[in-house]
Amino acid sequence: MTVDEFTSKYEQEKLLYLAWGNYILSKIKHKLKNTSFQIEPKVRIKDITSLIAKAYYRDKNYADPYSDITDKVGLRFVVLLSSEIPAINDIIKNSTHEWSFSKDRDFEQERLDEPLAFDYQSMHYILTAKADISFNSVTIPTGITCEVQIRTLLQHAYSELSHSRVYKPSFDPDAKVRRVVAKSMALLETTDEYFEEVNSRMNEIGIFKLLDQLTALLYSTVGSEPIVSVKANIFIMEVFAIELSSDTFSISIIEEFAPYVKSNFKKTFLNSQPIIFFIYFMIMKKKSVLLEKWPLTKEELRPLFIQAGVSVNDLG
Amino acid sequence: MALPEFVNFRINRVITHEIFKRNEEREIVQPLISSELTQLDDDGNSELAMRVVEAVGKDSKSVEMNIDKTGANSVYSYVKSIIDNSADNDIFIEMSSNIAMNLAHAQTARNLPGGILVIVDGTTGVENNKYVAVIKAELQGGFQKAANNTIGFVRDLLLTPQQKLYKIGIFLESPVSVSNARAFVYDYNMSMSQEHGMAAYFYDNFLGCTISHTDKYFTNRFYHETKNFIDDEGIFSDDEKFDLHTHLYSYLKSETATLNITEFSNQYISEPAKRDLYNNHMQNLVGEEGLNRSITKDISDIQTKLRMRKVIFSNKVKISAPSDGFENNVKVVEEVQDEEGKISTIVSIAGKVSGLDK
Repeated sequence: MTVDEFTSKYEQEKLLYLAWGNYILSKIKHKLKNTSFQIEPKVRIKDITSLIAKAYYRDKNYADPYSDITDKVGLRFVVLLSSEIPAINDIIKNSTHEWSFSKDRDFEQERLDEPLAFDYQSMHYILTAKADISFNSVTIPTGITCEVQIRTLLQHAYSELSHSRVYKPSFDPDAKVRRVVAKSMALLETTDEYFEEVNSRMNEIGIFKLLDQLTALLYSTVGSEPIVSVKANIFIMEVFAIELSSDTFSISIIEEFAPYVKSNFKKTFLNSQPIIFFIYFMIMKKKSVLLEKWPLTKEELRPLFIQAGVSVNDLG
Repeated sequence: MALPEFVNFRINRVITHEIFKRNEEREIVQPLISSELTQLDDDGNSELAMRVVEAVGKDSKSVEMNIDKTGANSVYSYVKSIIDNSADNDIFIEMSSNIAMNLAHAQTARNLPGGILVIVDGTTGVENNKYVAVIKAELQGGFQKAANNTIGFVRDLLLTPQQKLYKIGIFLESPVSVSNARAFVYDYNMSMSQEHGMAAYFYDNFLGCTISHTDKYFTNRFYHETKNFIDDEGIFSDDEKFDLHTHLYSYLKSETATLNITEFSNQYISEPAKRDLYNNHMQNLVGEEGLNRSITKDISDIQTKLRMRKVIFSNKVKISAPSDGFENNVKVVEEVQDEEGKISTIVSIAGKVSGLDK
C-alpha cells in the first residue's frame, strides 16, 4: 500500500473509527454509573501525519501497515486509584458478544516480569468489533479496532512527563535522565499505595460506612443502582453526626420507610438520595432538631414532611 | 414505629361545588353543583395534598372526633357510599352533591360565608386505607402577575396556605371494621374558645361528629405526664423547671380551647433536642398516639389542682396561692447565701398575714 492509498483509505474510514471509539465509550460509561473520572474520557483518532510516520518511517516493518496499526482510534480512562481499574477491566472482558479483546500491555504483569524496572505503566486493550454495529447512523464494520488505555492519575502524570520529553523521540536519552524518571515512577507507585491506604481508612470511618449502607438499602429498595451524590449526602450527614450515632437510630429502624422511599423516588433531588431514609427518620422522631440544624433551605423539607404524613406549618 | 395515618397520602378524585351564604330571609341559596370531576395536574394534586396533610397530619392542629351521625342522609353515609364504590364515578359525583346540600342546610346562620366545597378521595397510610376529605374553602382576594410586569386583582382565590380560610373533615376507612372508621377535623375556629360555637356548625351540624369523650382523659394525661417529664432527673435545671411548671399552668388555663403537644413544646421548651424528647415521650409512650394532634381541652377533672399553685422549698416549706395572678402575688426576689454557705430565699407576697390554715 502506498502512502497515498493509505491516506485516502483512512480519510474515508475516519468516521467509522470515531464511531467505534464512541460506541465503546458509551457502553463502558453506562455500566460505570458511580465512577468519577479524573479526566473526562474522550475518544481520539490519530491524525494522518502521525499515522504515516508510524507506518512508514519508524522501523516498525509492518506487513500490512493499515490493518496492523490497531490504535487508529484510542480511548483513555484515568481514575484516581489503582483499585478502581479492575471494574473497567471487567466490563471490557465481559462484553465479549460485542468485541473480542487482546491485552497489549498489562502493568501488573510487567511488574511481575521485570520487578526491577520502573517504567511507563498502563493497561492497554485492543477491542475488535465482532459484528457490524449500527451506531450514530453509521455501520461500524466487523474487525475494526480501537485501543483502550486504563491508568491511574499518577501513572498518567508519569506518562505525560516521559512522553513529551523522554520516550517519544528515537534517540537514547541520557542514562542520568532515565535514572531520575525511573525514580519518580518508583515514587509514584509508592504514592499509589498510600492513596489506597487513605481510601480504605476513609471507608472505615463511620460516616462513609453508613453512607454505603444507606446506598445499599436504597439500591435494594428501588431495584436499580441509584446515582448518588456523595458530596451532598456527606454534607448533610456531617451536620447530623450526633443523631446518626445515637442509639435510637439504626438501619433496621429505617427499613420500614422503604415503601415510601420507593413510591416517592426521584420526586425531588433528596428523594433520589440515600439520605432520604435518615430524613424520614428525623421527621418522625426528631423533627425539632431536624428543623434547627437543617443546612439547606427549609422549603426542601416541606414535600418530605408531606410524604411522611406530618404537618409542618411552621418551618421555623 | 407506628407511622402516621397520612404517610403516603394519595389523591384519586376531586370534585368541587359552590355553596352560598343564606339570603336575607335566611333561606338556602341553591348550591352550584358540578356534574364532572375536577382534573388537576401533578402540581395541583401535590399542592392540594400538601394543604390536607398540613391541616390534618401528625402534629397538626386538627382534632380526632367521634363519628356520631351515621344514619340515612348523614355525611358519613355518603362518605361510606363513596368508599364502598370507589370505582364508580357516578356515585362519587352524586354523593359529593349530597354532601354539598348537607353543608347548605347546616349553615343556618347568615353570617356564615359561602365558599367552594372540595371533595377528595384517595388512599393513605401503610395499608392504603381509603379516605374521603371534605374541604370548605372560603374565597379570598389577591393579586396575580399579569403581562408587562403589571398585576391584576382576583377575588376568587382559594386554598392558599392561609389556613384560617379553610376547614377540613376527613374520614378514614378502618382496615378492621366499619365501626372503627376515624374522623379528623381541622377548623381554625376550633382552637379558639370564643369562636368554638362558630365551629360547631361544621363539625357537628354538617359532618355529624362530636368531641371525643377521651379528650378529658387525655387532658389529664397531658397535665400529669408533662409535670412528670418536667420533674424528671437530668433534663431541666431548677430554674427551667420552675418556669415550665408556670407555663404548664398558664397553658391549661388559657383561653385556647385545644391542647397540642408540639404547640406547647415549640412555645416553651427552647432546646430542640429536649423538645423532641418531650414530644416522643408524650406521643409514643403516654398518649398511644392520642396526643398526635390537638385535643379539645377539658380541665374539669384537674380544675381543683389548677386552682392553687404551690412553691416548695428545699427545707419542705411550702407556699400555696391561687393560680390566677400567681406571678403578681408571689415573687421570688432573690436567693442569698450566708457566710456558712446556707442558702435562703427572699420572697415577696403582695398581701399581709391574715390568719393560719388549720
